Amino acid sequence: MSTIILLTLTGLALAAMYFLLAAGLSLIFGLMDVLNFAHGAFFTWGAYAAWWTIGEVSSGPRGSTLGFLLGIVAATVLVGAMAAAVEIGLLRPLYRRPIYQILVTLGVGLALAQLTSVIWRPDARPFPQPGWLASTSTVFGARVPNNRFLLIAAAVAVLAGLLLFLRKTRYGLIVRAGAENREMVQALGIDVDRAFTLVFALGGALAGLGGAFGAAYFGAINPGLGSANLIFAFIVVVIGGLGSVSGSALAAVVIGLAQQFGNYYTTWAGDFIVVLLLAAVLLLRPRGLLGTLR
Amino acid sequence: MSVAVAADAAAQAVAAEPFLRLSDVHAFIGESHILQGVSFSAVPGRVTVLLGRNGAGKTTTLRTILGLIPAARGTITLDGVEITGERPHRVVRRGVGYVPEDRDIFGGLTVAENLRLAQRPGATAERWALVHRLFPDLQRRAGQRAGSLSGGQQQMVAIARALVNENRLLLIDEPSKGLAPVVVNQVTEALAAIKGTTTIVLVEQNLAVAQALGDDAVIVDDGRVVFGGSMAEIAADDALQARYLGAGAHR
Repeated sequence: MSTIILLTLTGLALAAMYFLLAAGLSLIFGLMDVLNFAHGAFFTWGAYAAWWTIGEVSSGPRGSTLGFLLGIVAATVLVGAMAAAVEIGLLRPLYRRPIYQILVTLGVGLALAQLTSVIWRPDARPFPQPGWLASTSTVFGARVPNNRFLLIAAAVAVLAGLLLFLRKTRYGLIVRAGAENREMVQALGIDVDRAFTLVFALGGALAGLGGAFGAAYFGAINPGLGSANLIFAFIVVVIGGLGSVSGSALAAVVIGLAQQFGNYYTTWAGDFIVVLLLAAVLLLRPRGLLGTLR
Repeated sequence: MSVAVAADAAAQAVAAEPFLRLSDVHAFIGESHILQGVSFSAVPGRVTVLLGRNGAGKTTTLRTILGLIPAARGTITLDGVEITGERPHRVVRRGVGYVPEDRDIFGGLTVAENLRLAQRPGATAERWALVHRLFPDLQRRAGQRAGSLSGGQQQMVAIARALVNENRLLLIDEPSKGLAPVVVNQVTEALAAIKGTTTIVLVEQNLAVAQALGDDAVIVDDGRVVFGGSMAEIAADDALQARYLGAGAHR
């Protein structure tokens, strides 16, 4: 029983990390039709930004609580700003050339990952965490690391915040309408470019946040951290339905749990099950679990 | 009246103070040269109907005015200010409302959200009152997802979206398209109610609707203006209708 609980909570934490990465990808694709291959690098930079900040603020090998909190803020803000700069500087001139946009995000992703290796060396580094975060709590006999609970709580808060943003704010309205018909949004007098920048920055910030929490989840960081998880985030976006935040949340839970249970009981089937699920969804419901056809 | 004389007469009629003026406007869609020198003017407070066969360039003309399709050549002025090359949201913010051919309402949003999205700063309570008076059904269905409405109701949302702001120019593309006769009458009545309060450029294949609403008329054929005059002249000229409006024109 305790194994099931441990696997479930760890699977949900993995799902939370995938969701933080996938939510931005989904929003960006929904509004802008851009497959952002730089998203993995944003995740990595979030992890390194948090790691660097914790190291600067904390003394000793363990991170302080203040350091961890500041690390999360730094990861979110820095990567959000980085994403805004990429959108304004590199993607905006290419709005009428979607293929070029994809190539640019691919190039930015590769360059940022390489830059991480150059600045901080390619080898993995332990991610310092405050004692309370690295220690475990017992839930029905299962000893679960506390960072799993924090990750799940952060993802739930982000999901609630995103849904409120999309449903209750004018920009959320613009994003939802833009995902249906961008041109008509412009024809209503709305500067859709500004919405693009906002969504890209928001997606980047969430990837940065995901990177900080992902680093705590894995306990170590390396320059390939983001790209290793990006493929699963893309699968989550496709299974959930392109442009649907709720769909991404649902798909992330399915993928996270399938992967954890698959890997535990077979040691090899976790990723295979994910691919099977993807194939099944594409065959039976190509628009994804909660996606709408456009 | 000959085409050239009619065009001259129309040009003189609108020479006073045209609100919208297109001069030798060319536009492409991909490699296709759709507009090949479109020139006409719209007089303040009047309804100018763009007529012509399918594919003549009427919709492209409206989209080029809005900036959704870039004008490759020529000039477009609005109230004396050149707007050629301006981005669509800037053109719209000058006081232009657009009702597209396929309505293009946001089906996943509610009726109220569709209207709220369209509302620009400065939209007054009077405009909302007007919308609710013209389309009382929409008020009752404010919370309903727009995609679940009937075709006629969706057209009302599309028109209401253009009316929630104090627009100085309305570009309306085939408001009667695909609607049942009784709904066409409702839409025509709504547009008749706002006639005279703003300048309207209307694309309409249904001659009865065009006649009911139109003051001035322009016939577009193969991307060029081949007639400019009054709507009454076209209505009285069967030969002109047969030549340029063909099977697309129906009463």
